[in-house]
This record gives sequence, structure tokens and C-alpha cells, in this order.
Amino acid sequence: MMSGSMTSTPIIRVQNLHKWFGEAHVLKGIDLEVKAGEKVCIMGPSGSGKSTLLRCLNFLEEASKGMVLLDDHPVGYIEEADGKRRRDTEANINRMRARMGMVFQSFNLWTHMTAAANIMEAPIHVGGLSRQAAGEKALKLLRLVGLEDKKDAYPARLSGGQQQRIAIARALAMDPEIMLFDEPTSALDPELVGEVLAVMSELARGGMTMVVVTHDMGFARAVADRIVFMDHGQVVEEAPPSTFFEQPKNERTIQFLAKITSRPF
Amino acid sequence: MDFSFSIIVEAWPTFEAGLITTVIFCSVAGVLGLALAVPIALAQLSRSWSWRVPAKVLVEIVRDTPFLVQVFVIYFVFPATGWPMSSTVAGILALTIHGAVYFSESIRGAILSVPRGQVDAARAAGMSYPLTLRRIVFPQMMGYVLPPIGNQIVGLIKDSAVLSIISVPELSMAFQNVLGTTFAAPEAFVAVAVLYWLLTSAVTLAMSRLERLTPTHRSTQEMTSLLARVDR
Amino acid sequence: MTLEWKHVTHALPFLLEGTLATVAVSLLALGLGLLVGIFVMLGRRSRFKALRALTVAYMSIVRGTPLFIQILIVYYALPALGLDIPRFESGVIALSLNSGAYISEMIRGGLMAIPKGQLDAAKACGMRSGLIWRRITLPQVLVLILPPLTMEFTGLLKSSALLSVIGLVELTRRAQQVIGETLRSPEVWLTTAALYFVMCFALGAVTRRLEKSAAEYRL
Repeated sequence: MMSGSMTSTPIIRVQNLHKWFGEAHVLKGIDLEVKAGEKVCIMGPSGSGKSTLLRCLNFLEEASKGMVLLDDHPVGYIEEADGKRRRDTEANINRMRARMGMVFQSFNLWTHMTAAANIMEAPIHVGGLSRQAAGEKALKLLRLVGLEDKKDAYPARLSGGQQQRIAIARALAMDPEIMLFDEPTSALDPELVGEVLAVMSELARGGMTMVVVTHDMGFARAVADRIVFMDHGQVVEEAPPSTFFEQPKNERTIQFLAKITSRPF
Repeated sequence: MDFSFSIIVEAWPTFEAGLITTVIFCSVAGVLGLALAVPIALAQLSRSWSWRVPAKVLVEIVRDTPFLVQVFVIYFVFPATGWPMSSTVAGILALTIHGAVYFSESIRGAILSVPRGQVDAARAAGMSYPLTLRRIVFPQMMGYVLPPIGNQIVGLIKDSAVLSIISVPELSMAFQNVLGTTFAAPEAFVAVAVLYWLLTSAVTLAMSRLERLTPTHRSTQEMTSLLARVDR
Repeated sequence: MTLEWKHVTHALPFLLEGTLATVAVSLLALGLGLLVGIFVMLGRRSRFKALRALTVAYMSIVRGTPLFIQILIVYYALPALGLDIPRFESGVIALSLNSGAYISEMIRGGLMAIPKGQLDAAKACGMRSGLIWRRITLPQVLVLILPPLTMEFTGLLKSSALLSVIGLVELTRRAQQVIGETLRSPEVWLTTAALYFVMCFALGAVTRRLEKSAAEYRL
């Protein structure tokens, strides 16, 4: 549910983000804005840096240069008076992370806990909710993703699609302002992709701000307000889906689309 | 605490003799054990239970009893049933059987690690089982088998210290003698530890050299986790 | 010469009593070894190079020298350092110093076996590192190291036989005492081997069960 400001101030702002992994320059000056309620899909070939960018948003990766701003507050850093910056406290970083929900390609459910326990874990231990309240919330979220009957199941017993839906419920449990998805359907068998996309579409309809790294063109076309195309660490093109898919401007975009749709332009 | 090398120098002949005996015992037992391990491993994988059961029983007995007790059993039971037994023969026999059982587990695990599809393809081409083993399975399993075997050879060397208890004049017996003559000088502790350590490190080094020559080179860590999946 | 068992059957209760000491020394060595293993693990990941080097050296020595020698060294070295420690404790110390090196590897393996993604997910929810350790890592590590720990316990039961050499009265020493009285070494050793076999085989079954349970939770 939407819980950001209703104005057009961007919830997320990325400014000149650079990231080096050793010698490799993976993010080469990314600028991005995501407004409240927007659904942004990030697409691009492997190695383009899309996952790295997403992980920088919630500070799972630390950028080498540049800034990520959540509601105008820098994520992970405090700006000193003299313009220098130093690493923020763990507590602040965690607080910021709790305002963003993340769904991973490999689901990453905690295998020693049941589905319900996975969902309740952060609300209890980070959000301070009582066990009772967390349990009710978990049940509501399980109903939302259609897995109420699996609340006591362990991840090992669930299909990939079910695990991912639980992972989405877990990410929603902290009432995030924005949901980050890192290739949520790439690791799923084809017949299980639909159930996850259905939940994500439902979420989008409800007004959630979403940043989705995906290969799934159908989903991007149907749900995205804006497609951001990345290649070799740079944002190459940004456009609403209709424009992006029908009238791509940049040469590299055209090549990429040709490869994944095998449609000549 | 002052460390006096002269004690070690005086004791060196004793240590040297013991070291040589240890090397001889371990080499003989190692070679015989490896030779014995192959039939034991194959027997456990056999389709007929008349091979599988005795092999499994032997493996289970050797794995679930202390090596020291195995040594005592061999040393004392055989003479009682008519076969004379010297400490040398008993020592080598015990080391060989103990080693063979553990080697066979590594070999069995390595054979099972060769992808099933390789064997299927060979059989589909009309190759017999023995031919498949010789031409397809054994060459491929070499990379899987060397790391654990290396560990177990080191284990064999360490187990050989126990043979001093039945008076085999190997390195740990030498150590106990030197303890007596030097009144438990700390130099003796250091010397014997260093000698064993050098021996085991040499084996480990030699094994990693050998591993690098094999086509399917696997790290010891990978092998340990692979073997952990072998059903015991 | 045939084997006559009636002499041994008299001694069976006496031998069985020896297993109490065997189990006791092994259990204590396991517990102490677990503590040693934890310290060694911490030492390996320490910021101080000297501490890291020390732990690596310790592990190399313990794994590269015979347990028998380690037992003798502890037994003879401790008095030389002025510590007068009885046989039982000396045995426990030697065994736990040995086990500790191997147990630290088990702990390390358990930690590595937890998929990093689960830690990412925890961080993404805003959990702090202490919480992640307590709720996510530790519970899983404990389950993962249980099977290898039981295997180590089985190994300790067998290793405890070596303590007979320093005079500790466990099963093997009692066997030697029975032989001293009855002079029937073949029968006694076969019986003793059987007793060890029963203990270790039963534990092996437990270990296999634990491995299966641990595997059920893993994806």
C-alpha cells in the first residue's frame, strides 16, 4: 500500500552512482529517479550492472562513488558539514533498509523457519511487534499471496513459485515504502512464473512503488510506468513501455530488443 | 627455558632408526592396503549380496572398533588359533587391513562420483562392465580419489604410532625410549612432533602435486562434501 | 587351541563398567573440544596476524602428528610445567585439544553451508548483525554440525582406548586387567572389540539419522 508522499518528489534518487569491483567498473555514473507509486522496470543484458544498481539502493552493495537518496536522506552515509561523508551507523542503515522491501532471484527464505515464521521474523525483531500482532499480519499477507494453507510449511517442501510468493509476503511485512525485485522470476520453472507475476501485478495495482530488475517483457509491458535500459554499467535509454518496445531510439537498445524478441526493427 | 640441541643430537640415532621403521611399515601397509582396497570397494558395489555383505561387514567392523584393539586382536587371536604372529607381521597386517577399509571407502565414493551418464554411454555402446570400469570409470575417478586417499595415508602414518604398544620399534617407540633416557626432556617432545609433522607434510605435498596432474582436479573441500553424500 | 568363553563371561560386568569411563572421558572431551573449536575458529578469523598464525600452526601440528604422541606429550609435559594433573583429566585435555582442531573445521563448514542469500534477505529486512547471527546463522549451524559432532564422538570413543597406555582405567585397560587374571587374551580382546563395535555401530546409526534430518530442511 502506498505510504509515501503524494507529491511528485521522488522517493528514490540516484546521483552519479559509480561502483568498482576491483578493476571492473560496473556502474558508470547512474542517475535515476523513482517517484511515489511509480513502477520502474530495469532491463538489460547480463553484466550490465542492473542487479548491482538495485543492491546499491538498499545498501547491500556499497557504491564507490555517488549517492542514493531515500526521501532526500542519503542511504548509508551521513554528509558532514565540510561536504565529506562518512558511513552511517548500523542502526540507521538498518532503519532505511526496513523501509524498503527486497525480493531476490533465489528467494532466500530462511530454511529453518516455517513460511509464517519467515514473514513474522522482521516485524517481531526489527519492528517490535508482538508475536500475536505479527502472526495476524503474517496470516493476512499469506492470504494476499494465496498461500494461507502453507503457513506452517517449511521452504524445503514448497515449490519455487510458492517460495517466491512467501518471499514477497515477507518483504511486505515491514510495510515498506518501496519494493525492490531482483529478477524475481528468473530462477523459476516456466509454469510457476505466472503465479508470482500475478502477485506482483496485484501489488502494482494497489499503488506500491516498485523497482523491478527483470527479463520478463510481458510483465514490463503490462505493469511498468517506465523502462530503464542498462548496458555496460550505463543507463542507455529510458521510456514508457509503449515507446520503449515500439520505437527504441538507441542502437544498443535496438540490438538488445532484437535479440530477445527476434523481431527485426 | 633453554633448548638444548645436544640432547636431540645424542638421541638422533634412536629417532632415525624409529623413523626408518615407520616409513617402511607405512609404505608396505600403504601399498598392500591400496591393493586390498580395490576389491573391497568393488565388492560393496557388486550386484550380488554374496560379495556385498561380507565386504560391508568387514568395513563396518574395522570402522567401529579402535585401531589399538584391532592390533591386539590380530596379535593375540591368531597365535591362539594356530598361526604364529610376530609383532612385525601383526603390525603390518593390522595397518594394512585398517588402511584398506578406509581406502576402499574413498575409492567407492570416487567411483560413485563419476557421472552415471558416462557408464550408460559405455554400456549402450556395447562395452562390458569390466571394460567400462577400466576404460571409463577408473581414469575419471582418479581426480576424485586422490584428495581423500592422501588424507588417509596421513592417517595411516599417525595410526602407526600405536604399533609401539606391541613393541614394534618404530618412531613413537623411539620417542618413548628417548623419554626414558632423557627424563622427559622437552626437546624430545619437539623432536618427535617435528619428525611426524615433516613426514605427514611430505605426503600431503606429494599428493597435491599428484592431484594437479589428474584431469578432474578437485579440491579437498569439494571432495569432502562430495563424499559426505556417499551413503555409508 | 579352541576359544573358551566361560572365563570371559564372568568378567563381562567388569568390562562393561569400563565402558562408563570410556563414555565419560569421550563426552567430556567432546564438550571441551567444542569450546576449543570455537576458540580456534575465532582465532582463525581474528584481526591479529599473530593470532591467526598461531591457530594455523596449532591446527597443522594437531592434524599432522599422531594422537598417541599428543597423549604422551600432554601426560609427560604437564608435570614438567609444574601442573600435577591426574590421568583422567590429562586424557580429556589431550583428546579435546585434538578434537578441537577438527571441530573448528566442522563449524567452519557449517557456517559456509548457509547460503549467503539468506543473510542478504535478513539485512534487506533491516536486521542488525547480532540479530542475524542469533536468529538465522546460529540455529542453522547447530543443526548442521550435529552429524559431524556425533561422528567425532564416535571417534573419541575409539581414541579413548589409547588412554589405557597412560594408565587410565577405561574399557581397554580393564580388558588388560582381565587378561592379567585369566590369561585368556584372544577371548577378552574379541569381546572387547565387540563391546566397542556395539557402541560405535549404534552411534553410527544415530549419525545417519541426524544427517537425514538435517538434510530435510535444506533446499
